[in-house]
Amino acid sequence: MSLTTYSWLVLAFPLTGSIILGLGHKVLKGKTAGAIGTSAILLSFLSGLGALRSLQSRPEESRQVVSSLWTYAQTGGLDVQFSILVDPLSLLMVLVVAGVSTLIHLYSVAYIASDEGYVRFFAYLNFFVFSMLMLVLAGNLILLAVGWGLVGAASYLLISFWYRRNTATKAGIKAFVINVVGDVGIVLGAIVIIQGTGAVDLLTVFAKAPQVWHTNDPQIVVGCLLLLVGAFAKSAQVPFHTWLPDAMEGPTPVSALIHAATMVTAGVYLIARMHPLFQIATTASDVGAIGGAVTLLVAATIGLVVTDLKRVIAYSTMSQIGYMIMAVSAGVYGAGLFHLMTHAFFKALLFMAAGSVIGAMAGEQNLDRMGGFRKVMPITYGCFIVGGLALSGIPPFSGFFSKDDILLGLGTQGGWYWALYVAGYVGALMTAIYTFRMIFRAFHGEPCEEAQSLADGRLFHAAEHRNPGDGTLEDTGVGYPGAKHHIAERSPSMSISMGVLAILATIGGVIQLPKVTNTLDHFLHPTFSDSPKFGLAIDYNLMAIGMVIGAVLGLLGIYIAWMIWVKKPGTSARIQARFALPYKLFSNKWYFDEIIAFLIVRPFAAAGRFFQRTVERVVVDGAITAGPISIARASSAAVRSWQSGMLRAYAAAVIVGAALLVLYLMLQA
Amino acid sequence: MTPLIFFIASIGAIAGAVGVIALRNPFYGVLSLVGHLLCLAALFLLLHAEFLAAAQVIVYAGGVMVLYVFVVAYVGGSGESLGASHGWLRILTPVFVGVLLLELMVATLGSGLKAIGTEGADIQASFGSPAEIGELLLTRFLFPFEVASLLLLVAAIGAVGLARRRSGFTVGDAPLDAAARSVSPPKGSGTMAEAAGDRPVFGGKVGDQ
Amino acid sequence: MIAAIKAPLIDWSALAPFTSLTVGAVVVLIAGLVGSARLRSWLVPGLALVTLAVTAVELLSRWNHPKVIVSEALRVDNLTVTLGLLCVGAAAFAVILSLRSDTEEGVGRGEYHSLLLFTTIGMLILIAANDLVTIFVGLELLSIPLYVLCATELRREHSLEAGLKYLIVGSVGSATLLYGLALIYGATGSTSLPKIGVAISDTGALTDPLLLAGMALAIAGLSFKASAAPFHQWTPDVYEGAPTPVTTFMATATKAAALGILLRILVGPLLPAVDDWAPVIAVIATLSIVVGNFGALGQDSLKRMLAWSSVAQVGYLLAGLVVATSLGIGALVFYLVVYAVMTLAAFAVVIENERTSDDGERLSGFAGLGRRRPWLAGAMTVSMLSLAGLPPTGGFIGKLAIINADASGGWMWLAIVLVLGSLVSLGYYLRVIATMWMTEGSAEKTPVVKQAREIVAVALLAAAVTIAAGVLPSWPLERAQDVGQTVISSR
Repeated sequence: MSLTTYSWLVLAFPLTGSIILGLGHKVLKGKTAGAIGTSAILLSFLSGLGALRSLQSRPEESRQVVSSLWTYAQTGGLDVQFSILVDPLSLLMVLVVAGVSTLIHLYSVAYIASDEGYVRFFAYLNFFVFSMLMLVLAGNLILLAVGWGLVGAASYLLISFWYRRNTATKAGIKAFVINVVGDVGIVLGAIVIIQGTGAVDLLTVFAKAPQVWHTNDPQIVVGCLLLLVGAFAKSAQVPFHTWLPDAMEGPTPVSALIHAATMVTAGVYLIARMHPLFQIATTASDVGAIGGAVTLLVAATIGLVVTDLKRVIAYSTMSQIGYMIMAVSAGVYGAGLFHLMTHAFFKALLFMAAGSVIGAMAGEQNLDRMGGFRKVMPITYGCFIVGGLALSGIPPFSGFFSKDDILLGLGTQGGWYWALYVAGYVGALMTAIYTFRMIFRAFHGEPCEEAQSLADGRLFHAAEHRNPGDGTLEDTGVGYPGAKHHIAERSPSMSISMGVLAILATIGGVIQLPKVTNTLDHFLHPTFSDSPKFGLAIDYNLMAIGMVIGAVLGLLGIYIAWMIWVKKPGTSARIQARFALPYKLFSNKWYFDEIIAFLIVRPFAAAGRFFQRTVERVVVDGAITAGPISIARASSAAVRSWQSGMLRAYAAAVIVGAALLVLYLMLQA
Repeated sequence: MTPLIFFIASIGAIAGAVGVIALRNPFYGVLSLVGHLLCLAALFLLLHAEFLAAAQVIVYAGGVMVLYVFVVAYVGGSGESLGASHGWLRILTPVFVGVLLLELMVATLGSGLKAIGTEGADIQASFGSPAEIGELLLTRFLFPFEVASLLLLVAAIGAVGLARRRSGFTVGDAPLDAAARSVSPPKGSGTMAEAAGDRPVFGGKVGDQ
Repeated sequence: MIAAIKAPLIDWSALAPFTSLTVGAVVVLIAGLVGSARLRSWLVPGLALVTLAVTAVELLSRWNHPKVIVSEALRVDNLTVTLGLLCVGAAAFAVILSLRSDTEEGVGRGEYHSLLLFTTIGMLILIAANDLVTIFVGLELLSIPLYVLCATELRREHSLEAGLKYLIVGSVGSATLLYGLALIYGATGSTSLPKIGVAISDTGALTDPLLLAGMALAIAGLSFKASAAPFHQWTPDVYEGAPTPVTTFMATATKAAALGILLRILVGPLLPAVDDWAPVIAVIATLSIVVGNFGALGQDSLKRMLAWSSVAQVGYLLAGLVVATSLGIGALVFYLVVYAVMTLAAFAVVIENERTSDDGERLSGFAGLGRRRPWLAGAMTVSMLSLAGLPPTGGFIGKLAIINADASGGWMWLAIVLVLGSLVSLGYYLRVIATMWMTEGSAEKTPVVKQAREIVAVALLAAAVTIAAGVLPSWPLERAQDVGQTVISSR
């Protein structure tokens, strides 16, 4: 089969899957739906692999292929085709999306088994994967915007999947409002670009852009800033980020798939895809890079203080995407996409493991109530450790190489990018702290009630199931309660998918070992060959220094976390012994942890609380979510207050309108 | 002579029109309308449209007005209040009506004054005669003329159809359809009842059964 | 004495759509006198449908055969054919949708259907009008039957109120239009549209205040019929009060007719004055988008919501008119057709839901519809998505075409207003979808009434067409471009 056939199959399978599941939701019984959903995505992934093989067999100059299925509209100034662009960048995204999705579908087969909306869930999930693949494969701006919108719609459906939950529907609406703001950014940005270049096809736009616009031409800067609004909204970057933590109301596989591995990285993809434009609009690129840096710091500080297990991971996601946005905005494309890939592995893994813990806690997500799961859930614990180490950037886990690659790229460019470089390392330290804070609190310490009962061979069930968000009583439609719900690591489908991801999170860094493999850079070269920043000569000294700093900061962060959340409560001596080496290195004096707490953790924690309370709740929620809503309410009331029902008023309005029209035209004369 | 008649007739027409909306007593209103129509007929005469003037007097001032007077006499010209206007409406509407009037005057004067300086229109002896009008209606305006007959038919159908209802909101002995009545719109949805302040008894006394 | 009069040549084949409708309307009226109520109940709608079908065929045969007929009173060209077919189709669906409504209780079955046919004739005349007098007569023939039709549910006071309101405010609108037409005649000395065009280009009367005032009043009067802001206020009240099949008809056909003649006047004789009227239309469009969308937010009555939404949709359509090129007109015509189809789907669902449940017209009556009647809810979903302009529906392509025309015609800000307006509109369109699929009905409503297959069929057909227009838009877009081309070139 040809490259294009494979690529169309990538899209066709998930679409077929969602249609079958959507139409047959009454007929399909048992796990059939899960099997259909999973195999659709698996087939899509295999088609992606086929496309990869076929693409690599081509000469490098012809690795950007546009294929049009049918001409959508070619009249009246519109020249829109239903076309896809297959090149290394889109194919990388296809493989990451389809690959991780396959595993998450597999995980969901067991995770969602006791839920009433089993078939509905897989229909939504397949639909989401289709939308996401369409977004990354889109060959023109219109299709890109369409995929963008569909992805948002799918995300909304999945966040409010448990629609009887008040908090879930509210979170869905919030995500929706912010995403619509982003969609408008994309649409307007696309209009600006189409108007400027007179083309909708991506490759044509890229070819024409340098002739139409000079560097920092206001029009393209505005266009790129509008695109950035879309990218920031979808990727949950400050100030459009508040929907992401709330989106954790959705089922955990959704969080793993959409709000960690795939959809939220769409902004990164967009900037990378539009790089010829962002390179012209350097102001917009700088805004993007700074936005990413701010997000990575703000989100990391908030991650330090949040007590909801999934929200910690959500803030961590924001922070990590901040790295990627910063990277691709600053022209460090290879590293940014490398981090996108490794992040997909380890963050999905962390979410799955978190789902396992939440399952054991019967829906409870509060870290304060957890503890001591280490022994009763060894696989989950292992996954958490692997994911945590990768996230914290500890060698030789994948996250270490990708994060380091980003910062190396920034450092190589020099100039004011050094500020971003420093921010990246500060963020790395905090990342390690909050990651291991979460792990230590959930898995170490005194076993909580739920862990105890699991150790006794029973699965904990709350007497009455309450919404962890607002404490209201819930019925059984939401998956957890009842006798049937699962512990992740005891069901093969869940542990297989977690295991695969754990392996990938561990060794994923291999494909881009600096100086050794560089596979990803070579692979992506056809897409970014026009970029002067791509493949800059690497300063090997800087690389070595960066790697050491990264590793040391990661270990330091873990150590700090351990000092504060394990050591200070004074738990077992055995844990102390395991961490004896860093312990001896740093804590010759007893007050050392207090100093650390005073100097580092407290300011960070205070900043985190500050951001959460003021910036998030008041400024962002107020201005970005509540603002439009209240404006809409007020305007609606104003419009309707004119609707008095009085004929005289209506007739008067006609007269007034006519008088104004005449007046205007007379003044024209 | 012509300008004098023009101004007298114009002022009469405007005064008549104002009288229709200003006078409280319906009978005076109808009379005022008759005066207005007669003045219009005079203006038509000035334009050499004798047939039109005659038709105006016979059809409107004669037939239609008689009908009006009958209706007013039937319904009874009681001094029923028409309901108070909203405050802003009372101010805004006259202002904008004035603005519109001014605009139209400017428009008319802006171009119309040119015509005064030129020679008058070349009017043939047959202009405005029934024959001439008849010819226009059967040639140039044949289609609108025919369609106008459809309009009359439609008006007749509509009037008969609507007049069929003779018993308020009841059909025979059946009380008012409960479902139809209970579905009243929510506040702020802009019904006339709401505008008038409360729910009127509509179409007779059965409303409250 | 006048010599022998030479009667004008009448091209009966081109006039056939008008004559057949007239004959049909009279026949239907007479058929309404048949004694047996059972016979009446299928004979009258059947004859009406036959009439409409014949008219549609006759209209279709005039495609690409433009002709000016009956001493230049009418112009039967591609615009007439397209919008005429739209109106005829809307009338046919109104007949189908009102099959089960109790028209006997109101004005009577024969009268109801013949009024429907008469107003369709009015629309056809208005769209085809080539002369100011024809325009006015056509408008009146369109309006007067509608006033009566609005009031046909005699036992419902809201229906009467709707008819009365429409009549009185409508008279103001008609008077405004008439005054405007009179001033245009005064300024140009002719009632024939082509001659007006010639007079304007010859004398350079573009700065003539009389002409401009006339133009403004004519725009105001026609905007009233199309229910564009600020002349829209009657719309929610009348749409809500009128019987729903009549509302459906008004929301689709009346708008098409009003926009059709607005198009014919503005892009015809008044095209040289485009720099004068385009900003006016742009402002009206903006106002309509803003007012319509904000008015629709938070409405509990679906009919009122759709009324407000129709105000906003007229705003989108006018945004296409602003660009007086074949591009903009093509986009307008395409979106007009799509708008009619998707609105039809929405109203069909409302009618069916109204029949089968007590609060079927309220939003609460739609709770859990997805579970009770998935096909009906599916049709509604497609319609709402399309009205909101989301892919893969015709509404999306239509908006895209209009935005494209605006952006390429130098009306960037209007395109942005359109996008922002659509953003607001998501707030109420998606609310309906969420209510249908993501909430449960308060109690299990057992339908007392049998489900009406033909109404469901109409809803599904319209939804399917909406999707088809979104997936394969090339053919309709090209036809719409043809129409735009004829309008531009015929002047």
